[in-house]
Amino acid sequence: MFKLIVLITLLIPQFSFAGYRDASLIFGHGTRGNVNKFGRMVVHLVEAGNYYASIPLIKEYMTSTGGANLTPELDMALDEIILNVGVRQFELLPVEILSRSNSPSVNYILAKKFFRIGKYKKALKYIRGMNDKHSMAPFARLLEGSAYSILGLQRKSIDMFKRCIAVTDDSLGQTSDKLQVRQLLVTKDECLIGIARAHFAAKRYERSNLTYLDLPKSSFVWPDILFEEAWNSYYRKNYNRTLGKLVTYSAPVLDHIFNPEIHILEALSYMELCLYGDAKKVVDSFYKRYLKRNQRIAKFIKSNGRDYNFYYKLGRLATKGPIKGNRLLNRFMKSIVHGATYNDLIESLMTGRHEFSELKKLKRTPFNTFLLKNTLDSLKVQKKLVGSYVRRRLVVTHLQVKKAFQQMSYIKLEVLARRKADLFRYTEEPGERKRGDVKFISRNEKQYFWTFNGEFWVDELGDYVFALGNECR
Amino acid sequence: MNKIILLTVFLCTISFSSYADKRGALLQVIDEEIGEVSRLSKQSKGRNPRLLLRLAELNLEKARHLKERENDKYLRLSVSQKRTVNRKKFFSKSKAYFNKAQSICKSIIGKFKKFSGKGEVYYIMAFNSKEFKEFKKARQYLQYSIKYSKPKSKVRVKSQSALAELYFSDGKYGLAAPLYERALPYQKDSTWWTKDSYNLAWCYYRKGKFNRAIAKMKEVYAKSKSGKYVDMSSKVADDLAAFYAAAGKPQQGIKFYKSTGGNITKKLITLGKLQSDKGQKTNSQKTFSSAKKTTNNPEEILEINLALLALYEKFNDYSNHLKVSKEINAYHKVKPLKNEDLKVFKYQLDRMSAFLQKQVVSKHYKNVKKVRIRKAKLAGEYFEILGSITGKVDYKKIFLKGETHYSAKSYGPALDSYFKTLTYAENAKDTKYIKLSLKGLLAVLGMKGLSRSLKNKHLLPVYLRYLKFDPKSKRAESIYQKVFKIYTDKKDTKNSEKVLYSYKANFSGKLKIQEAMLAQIMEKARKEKNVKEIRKWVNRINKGEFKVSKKYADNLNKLLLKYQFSRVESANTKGDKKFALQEYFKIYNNPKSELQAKKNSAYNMAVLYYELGRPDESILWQNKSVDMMNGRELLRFQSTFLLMINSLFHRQRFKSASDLSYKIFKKVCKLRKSKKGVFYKNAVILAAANGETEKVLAVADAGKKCGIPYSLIVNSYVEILKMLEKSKRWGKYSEVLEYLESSNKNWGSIIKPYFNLLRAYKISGRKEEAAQIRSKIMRLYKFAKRERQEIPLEGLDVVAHYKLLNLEREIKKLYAVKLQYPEKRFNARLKNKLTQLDRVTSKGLEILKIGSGIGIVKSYQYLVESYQRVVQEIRDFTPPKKSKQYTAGFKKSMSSLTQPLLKRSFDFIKESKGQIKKSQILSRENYWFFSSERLPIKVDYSSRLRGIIMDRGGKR
Repeated sequence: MFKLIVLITLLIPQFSFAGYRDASLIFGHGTRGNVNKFGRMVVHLVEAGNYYASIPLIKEYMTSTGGANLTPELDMALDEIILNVGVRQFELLPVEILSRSNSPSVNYILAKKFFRIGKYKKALKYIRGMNDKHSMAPFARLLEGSAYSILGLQRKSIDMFKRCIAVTDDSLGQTSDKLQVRQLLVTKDECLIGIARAHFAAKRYERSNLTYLDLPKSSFVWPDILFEEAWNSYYRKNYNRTLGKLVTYSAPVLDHIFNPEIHILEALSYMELCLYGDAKKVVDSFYKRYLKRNQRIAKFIKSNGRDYNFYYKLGRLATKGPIKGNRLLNRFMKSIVHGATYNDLIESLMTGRHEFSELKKLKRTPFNTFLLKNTLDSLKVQKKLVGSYVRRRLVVTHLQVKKAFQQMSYIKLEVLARRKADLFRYTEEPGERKRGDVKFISRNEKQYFWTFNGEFWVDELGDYVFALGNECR
Repeated sequence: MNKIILLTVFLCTISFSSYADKRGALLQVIDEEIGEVSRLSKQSKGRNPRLLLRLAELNLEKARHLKERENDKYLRLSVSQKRTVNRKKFFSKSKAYFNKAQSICKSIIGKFKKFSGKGEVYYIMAFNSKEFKEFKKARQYLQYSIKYSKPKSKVRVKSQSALAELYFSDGKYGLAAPLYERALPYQKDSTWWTKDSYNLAWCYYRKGKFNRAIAKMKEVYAKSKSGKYVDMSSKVADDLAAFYAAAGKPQQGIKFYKSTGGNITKKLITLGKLQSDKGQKTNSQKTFSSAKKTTNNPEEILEINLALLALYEKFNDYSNHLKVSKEINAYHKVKPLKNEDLKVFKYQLDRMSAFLQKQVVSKHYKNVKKVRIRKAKLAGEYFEILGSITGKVDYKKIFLKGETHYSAKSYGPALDSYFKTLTYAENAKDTKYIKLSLKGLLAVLGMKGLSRSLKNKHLLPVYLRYLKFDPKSKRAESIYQKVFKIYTDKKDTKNSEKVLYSYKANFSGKLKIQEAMLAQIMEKARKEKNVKEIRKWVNRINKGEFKVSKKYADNLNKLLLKYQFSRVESANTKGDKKFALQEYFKIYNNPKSELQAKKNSAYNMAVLYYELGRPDESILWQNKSVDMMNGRELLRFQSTFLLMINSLFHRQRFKSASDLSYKIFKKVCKLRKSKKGVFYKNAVILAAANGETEKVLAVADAGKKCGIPYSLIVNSYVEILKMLEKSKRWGKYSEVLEYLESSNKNWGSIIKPYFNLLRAYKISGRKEEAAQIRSKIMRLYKFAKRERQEIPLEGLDVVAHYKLLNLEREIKKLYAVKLQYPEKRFNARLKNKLTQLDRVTSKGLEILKIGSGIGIVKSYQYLVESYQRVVQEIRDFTPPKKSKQYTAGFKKSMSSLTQPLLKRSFDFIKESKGQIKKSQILSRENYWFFSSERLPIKVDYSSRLRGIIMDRGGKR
């Protein structure tokens, strides 16, 4: 239900000819150069802002040094690379290789790796010591807070998220880079959500709800978090509010959001209000709309295998406009390409391309050719990473939908079970349903009451509330 | 009232309809659930056993609802529809779902060996098996369900309860109890806790753990009242009494019922009944006694009394049973029992009376008369109560009382009961019971043990009542005879006759019995020598009023005759024939005399006159008696009549003799008796002797129709032919001959008559007919000869006559050959002559074979004459103009030729003489052989003995 969005900070490189020259000298006159020299070359290339060209060299150097740790100088260079190209290029490296670095960024990568495989304590070990001043600190604190939350240490988690907000605020004060600012803002919002989530996990739903309301609608993640708010309302048995939150997703401005759980929660809410007909309607409609399409998506994924270039191209196509054929696929893709991660990856790729074009402008020497080739390799990997990301998201979403079918079925079964229980319990027909009555609406001080007239207004989004009577007896 | 009913019906319909709607809605929901779970299961490609389990559950649930609906439908069918409906088909829908659930479960068990929900799967399978009435399987599945489910889990508890219930219904309380014990602690929230606990209490009870059973029942009772559980309190209240009874704690039971505020009396009655069921007679009796003390309500007292009846009946406590029965009967007379109670009471009375009656009848008490009589008396009292229970006297029960007394050989009371029954049944015109009571009475009266005075008093009246009621039955037949005997023993002729008449009216076909009764009446008359009386009965018999056997009728007639003739016969035997004749004449002339008597008189008079040698009077009375007698009687007196007729013949009373014979023959003619042949012959002979041709013809014609043997008829016609020949009635002669000729057996006999007819025709110039007859004669002879029939000599003579004529022609030819010389001619003619002689010889010898005396003699004569004449002609011939020597030589040679011829002629003479003597041939030509001289006339007959020639009638 909850997902952790990990953001990658990207910096636009500043090219340095000194570094390029020093690296060229170390490279010498050969066509490929000696691996042992790669460390020093990387340091200079980072100085020169050739991050993509450095990626293959540092990776090769790390794997061929026979278990020796990287020098502090090289660690710093690695930090720099990760900061500029993102963590994904290095996530593919094995843990033991990555462990040779003392770089906080590599530690972050390692923590992420362990976090991803559910080893939260180990993840914490890698990032706990990261200095708040480090450029990766906001991301590390976010990861740390999340790990505490998952480990059930909600108090610690909330504190960590609060620290994260503070660290992010500091970082925001230190950079004016648009992309980095955006990433830091997202991280800050994520940490805020983290607090709400921790309250939620501690079953402090009201606190959680209020915290969610602190998230401004302008936040990049707000559309996604709206769903979490809906859940919160659900847990507070404020089903009318839940339905109101969920109806926001119907607004055209949010049509890039695709989350099958929205429908699940909608059905659940109707069910809790004993509006079994409505609940069933949601379930049946979900099945009707998505079952066959999702099956076709399965076939689609299967037929394209792991052709990441294809998925890269698909992503690019989706960015340009709707994909014809399968509306669900189109929605999936729209959701993916609107996502921060996808955009980070693409922007990183763009940076790499820029780096490549800059190298191309230089005199063609063996070193220059060597760097061009390395950059091209890295770009290829990046493209694959994009393609892989697209594919993975497609698969995940497809599986989510698939799982949603089951959940929908269980909801329907529950509805049927309740209807059955009612049949056993009562003989007389229920009275006429009274829908939309104001008396069923409960509000807090942060919410306004709007009457929904069938139109979505941006400033109203997320504040809708239904007025359905509970028909449970 | 009607409105209320309508309203109720309407409400029921609504309720039913709404329930049906609800079920429909439920089924719809279940269908949706099935669809959804199937969809889910498909998504996991059937690899999720949980979903499959849920699918099985839903199918089971649907099956159960469908079954309910089918049951409802089935219950609403009419009886005839139920009979014709195919149950399998009718319940097929629900069955299909049960099967589906079962197959899903089986598939889960087969595919998912380690599935944690196996317990639930087995639970469903058990449920299904229960539904299919496969209880053994159901038990097994429940055991698996318990095994594979987690301890304390819902499924395990449910399975334990279900298995316990199965064991409970199988009566395996020892197995059921621990399961209930394990399951119940986890079912405290279940509304069924009380029901299961109730069963557990019963398990304890059945296993003899009465205290635990009582404690559990009390717990159930208390919880039932809480409203949270199924209310079992009324059942507990009903059953707890039994538990207290079993535990031997009735006082605690009473205390309990007091505490529950129920009707103590009612519960005590229940308790008492249960104690009775347990065989605790004394306890039960005490409980009932206590119950009586707790109430003044007559209806409750009645209920107790009825329960007591059942108790006493169970333990065969007759005296107490009767006492209570009388108490109830007294109550019933004041306030009639309700229908149900009356049924019970009647059942008790019926049963007890029947039981006692059975005991009375059984062999067991055969030798304990006092006990048997006492039991009969008891039974009688029951029957008395039963007889009066409906307010009217029930004679059927009185009858049973009689039967019981009868079986106990208590005849006095039995007679009283039967008489009582009879009287009531007669009033009610109940033929069945009239008959039964009469039979009972007869049976009692037939008993040896019944005192003579009682028997004498009742026997005849009972018989007469019986006959009045049932005069035509087999039993009645016997009773008639008994009544008749009683009357005859009393010498009450008048009533005897009445019985006879009545018997005759009802059993007209039973002649022997009637005859026997009649005989007894007649015997009395005979002994009293009351001829008048005898005559009266004989007249009735003769008129056909009474049909008796012929023998008996004859005997009666004889008896009557005997009385009539006894004096005459005695006079006759004493030789006083005159007196006898006078008396016979008196009897004959007396108009009151029976025909038989008259016949006898006439016959006896005929005999007497015959004995007295007075043929004319004898003829007169013979004729009278013959006129009166029938053929059979005549045949019986055949010898006497023949003797008398013979005597008349000898006394020259031919006509009378002939007439009598003819008259008698006519009467016996039609009888199938061989003796009539004698009368036939007699009639023919006497008529013939008297020359009464017509009469003979009439007799013969009658003989043909009466079946007189053909041979006798033929003989008669032969006689007739002689008579007709004599009277020259050739026309009739010819007819008779034709009749005789119609059988070829007679052909030998009619040769001579035909010859007679031929002669008549010749005389009358009818030569053609004569010629035809001649050829017919030879045909008849040839056939008779071939068939070796016996041909009369006269017939043979006729044949020989015609053969002799032929012979004579041959002889003429012989004589016609004249010997002449020259020698060659002589030799030729001699040869011809000798050849002709040979022909004559052979013809002559042929005639000899015919066997006719005349033919034989004449033939021999012709042969001798022919031979001797030929010898003579040869001897006499002398060749003319021949030398002596030649002549001597010729003579000599001729002599050698004639010598054997002559010798042959002498042989013929010798043979003929021998034949005449041997065959005693009487022929006109005999003289020719025996006379030494040849006379110019023929002497017809010669006899060495002197004799008189007479005609056939002995007349000269």
